[in-house]
Amino acid sequence: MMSSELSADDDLTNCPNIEDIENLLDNSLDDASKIRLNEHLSSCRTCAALMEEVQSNIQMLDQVRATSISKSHSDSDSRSLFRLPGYEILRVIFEGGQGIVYEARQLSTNRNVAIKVLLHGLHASKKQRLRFEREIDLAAPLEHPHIVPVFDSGHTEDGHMFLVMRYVEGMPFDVYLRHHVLGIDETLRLFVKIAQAVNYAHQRGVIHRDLKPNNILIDEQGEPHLLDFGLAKPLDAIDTENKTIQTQVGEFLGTLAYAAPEQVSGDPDAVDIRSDVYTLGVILFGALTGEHPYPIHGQLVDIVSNILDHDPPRPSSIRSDINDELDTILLRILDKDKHRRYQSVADLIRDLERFEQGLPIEAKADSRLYILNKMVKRHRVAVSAAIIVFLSLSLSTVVSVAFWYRAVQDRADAILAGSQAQQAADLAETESRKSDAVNQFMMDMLSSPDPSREGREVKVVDVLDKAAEGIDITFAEQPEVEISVRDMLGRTYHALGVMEEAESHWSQQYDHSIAHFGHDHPRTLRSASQLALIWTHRGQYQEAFDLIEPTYTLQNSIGVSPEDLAFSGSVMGQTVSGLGRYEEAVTHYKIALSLGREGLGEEHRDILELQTNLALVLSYVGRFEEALEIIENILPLYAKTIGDNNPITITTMNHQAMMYMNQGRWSDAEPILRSALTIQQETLTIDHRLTLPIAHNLATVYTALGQLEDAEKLYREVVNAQIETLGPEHEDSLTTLNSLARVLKMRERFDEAEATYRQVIEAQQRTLGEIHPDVLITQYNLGSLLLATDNIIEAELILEQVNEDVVISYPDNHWFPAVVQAKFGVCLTKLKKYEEAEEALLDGYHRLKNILGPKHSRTRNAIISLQQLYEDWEKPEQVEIYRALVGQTNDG
Amino acid sequence: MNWVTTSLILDQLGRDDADTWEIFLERFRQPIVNFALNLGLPLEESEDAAQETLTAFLTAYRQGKYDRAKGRLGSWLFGFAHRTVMNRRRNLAVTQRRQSVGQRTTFWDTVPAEETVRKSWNESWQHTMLNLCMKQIRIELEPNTINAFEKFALEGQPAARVATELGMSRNAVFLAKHRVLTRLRELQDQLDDVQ
Repeated sequence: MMSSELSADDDLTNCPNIEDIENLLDNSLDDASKIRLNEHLSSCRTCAALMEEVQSNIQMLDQVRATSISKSHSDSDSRSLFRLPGYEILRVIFEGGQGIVYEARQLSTNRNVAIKVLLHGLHASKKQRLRFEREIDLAAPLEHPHIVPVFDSGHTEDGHMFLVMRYVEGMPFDVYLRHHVLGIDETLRLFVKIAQAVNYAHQRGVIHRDLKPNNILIDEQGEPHLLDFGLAKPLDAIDTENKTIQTQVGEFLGTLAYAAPEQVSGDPDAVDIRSDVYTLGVILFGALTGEHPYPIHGQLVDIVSNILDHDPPRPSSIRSDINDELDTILLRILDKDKHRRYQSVADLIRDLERFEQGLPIEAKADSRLYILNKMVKRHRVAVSAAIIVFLSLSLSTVVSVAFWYRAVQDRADAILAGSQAQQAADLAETESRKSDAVNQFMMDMLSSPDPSREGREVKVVDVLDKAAEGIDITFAEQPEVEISVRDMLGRTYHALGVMEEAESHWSQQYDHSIAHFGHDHPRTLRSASQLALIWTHRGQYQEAFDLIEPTYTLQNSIGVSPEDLAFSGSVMGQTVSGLGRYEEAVTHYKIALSLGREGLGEEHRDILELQTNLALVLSYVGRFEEALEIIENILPLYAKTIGDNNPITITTMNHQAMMYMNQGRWSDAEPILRSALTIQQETLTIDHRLTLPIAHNLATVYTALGQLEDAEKLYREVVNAQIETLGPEHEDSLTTLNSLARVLKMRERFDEAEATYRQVIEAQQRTLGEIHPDVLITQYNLGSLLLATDNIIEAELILEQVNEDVVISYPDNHWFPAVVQAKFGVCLTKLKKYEEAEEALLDGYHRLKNILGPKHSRTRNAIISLQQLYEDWEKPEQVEIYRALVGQTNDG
Repeated sequence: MNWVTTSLILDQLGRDDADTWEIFLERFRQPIVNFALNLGLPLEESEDAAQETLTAFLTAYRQGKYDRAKGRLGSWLFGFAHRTVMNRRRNLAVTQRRQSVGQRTTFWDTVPAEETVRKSWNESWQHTMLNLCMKQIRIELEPNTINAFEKFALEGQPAARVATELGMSRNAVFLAKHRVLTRLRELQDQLDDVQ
């Protein structure tokens, strides 16, 4: 850097100017000047202050430069650049090397338009003018909903060529994809519309040649609009313009990333509609994977080499939910050899549509195994797509979805009607024979116990066990009878809570059904649902889901009875609920209900059970009022149809009590539970699956009411029975252990409590995953315990983690995240981080007040924690406010 | 547009002045929207996040929680914006998971590093604030002063050439740069500092 001397007219008895100070700061003064200036600065406060200012200004300038605030055209600037009679120029949309695009208002129609103007007016090169004219010639005749239409074109008085188009308010395709979360199906649907526009242009003899996300605008309705035919050419034209592409990189560079191999190979005659096919492939690859099919950074020669030779990776290697078929389609579009690509965009669209409909795709036409598999899966895939769509719909659309399902069923029924009529007589006879055989089996079963040898108190289970012996041999020649018998035995064991035996019979029923009826027979599908139900009861949710999901899909597709659909919908709901996907479960239950009610009626047992499940899952997501209303509606229906003392009625009473418990109405819940347990135990033992939840809940109520000894005793009975019948890692066993640990904590047996919590967390994380709602509850409990025992550092770590995870695993309106937030606030209070504690506690308190009401015990706890915070923080006025609030909660 | 300091805006908002809320939104909405967009929220969600952030901020301000010792307005607002945007990302992640059965890992599972988030915020905040300030400066100062600043300080043209072109002394060019930057700092302070 050159050194400067102080300005010639400077006299150091006078103050330096800003340039001198800047030079000093910039270290570009010579040494002598530097010394003199520094001497002056040390004695002149004004200049010293000025230097500080200049220094700050230099930092400011760096900021301005870094944030690229630069001279910009004001509105009046852009208006002054261009005038066109009949239009009011509003702003510059885009300014490129060749032209400017303005947004303008067309005065005659008062609509907004985009006006593209060729730069340099009469001074534009011949080639530029020819290209602009060609764009007008080619784009103007195109009328397609997804191509931006040309309204007008011509020359202004001062020689500017212009093109008036529809103004589209929207985002470029790639930007749109970054701002909108689209699934594969949605992305494909959008892409097909773009491809249809390109295909339309091809059919009218126009190759776009500059397809890229920037030239595809997506409007507010999510509709695409193809624009910029500036590089388009007629199909039959001989292209002289791009003969020397390698030397015209400046013009081509912008689209090189999307160019087809033949476009960069130096032979423009090789460019045809298959080049647009390839470019569409690059766009689709990017839309689905977020990546380019080959590297596009670095030297030009490397990029060209990649376009020519770099084979794209299988898209599924980047995004795992892309399947083999979509992989195949994409790789075919992106084939370097244009003869092996789809030969037209129309072919590509056709294959994408076949893919969407679950039909075999042409790209795989040579694989027999593939086609065979496809035929088997066809029904399932078609409806899977529909299911994905409907799951994303709001619940208000459930009814219309139900109508859709009904229509599907009606179609299936209509198709089946003819053959059913012809087979009716045969079927009746078969059913009759089967019914006789089953009846005979029942008679044999009931008469088999010998009182003289086994006494009068023979248990049902014993009768069943005896009857089940050797049925595979007895009915070896009557598979349908064996299937029915195993169905009946499975149901009975299930009702008795003997899950292992129920699973055994339903599992064999399923296998025999597949062998006898085939995979997609309604009877087979029903037995699959039963098996999934058992797995759900045994806590094997993922296995259950893997079975019920395709089963339910297929049932919807082929049209089964309302009973079967309602049953499978219920199992589906229970399974996804077990996986912690509660809102999804609500949707399944509601759909199953709307279907089932129609066929079965309001008082049918399956409908009542579905409503119970719906109520339960509603309570899981904090919708207690809705849940309680459902339970109170169905309780009298149960009493009427199956009796007051029926285990199911009793279980429903248990659910009613749970709704009260969820609202903190412990005293209302206790008598219901006591009564239910008493009645239940008259007929069933404590280890029965229907008795266990009631006993568990009563123990919870005891805990809430402070009857800790009773609570511990009951919890221990329950957990022992659960471990015995369900296994030590079953969700229910772990939940009870969790509750037991809480009682131990309340009884100040902290070590036992901590060990129990850690045991539960370990098992839950193994079986349910890291952020399952139940895992978070136990971790929260452990955190609370550690807090109570002043192990605050570990408590903070655990509660902070739960506080983060709980937002993912619970819905917004659930009370639990608010409770966690408040507890985290308590922890921060203990750590004397008062401000953060206040924020957490206030947030937790307000959410609890909104969700559970101001007088709920959980809300009250949050108020007490706030009071404690302000006491520790020594804010007496706030203490009084929250003390008064605590008093108000006591009134309730 | 009349220049109003952020302190004054907040003061008037404390008195529930609805018109001032509009000014407040207009001034501080955009950096939050940009920030949310940069972190991957869709446009509508980003708009909502901005509204939610500013409402939460205002509530806290009215409760007297703003502590100058904590830093400037931008840093404080960052805390609110960060929490709001991250919560919305998580909620979207839940929706995503529910809608895409079997797709275990999504973009939304990847929480960006704190440093990236902070950088994104600073860029968005500074860009908006400086734009507002520059807009105001264009109103306040003579066009020649602005031109001299842009050519000399931003475009890097030599002072002598700019002086000749604009018909001013070399010293006046340096002075123009100094005046613009000094005013820019003052305005930025008024935007980002709450008394």
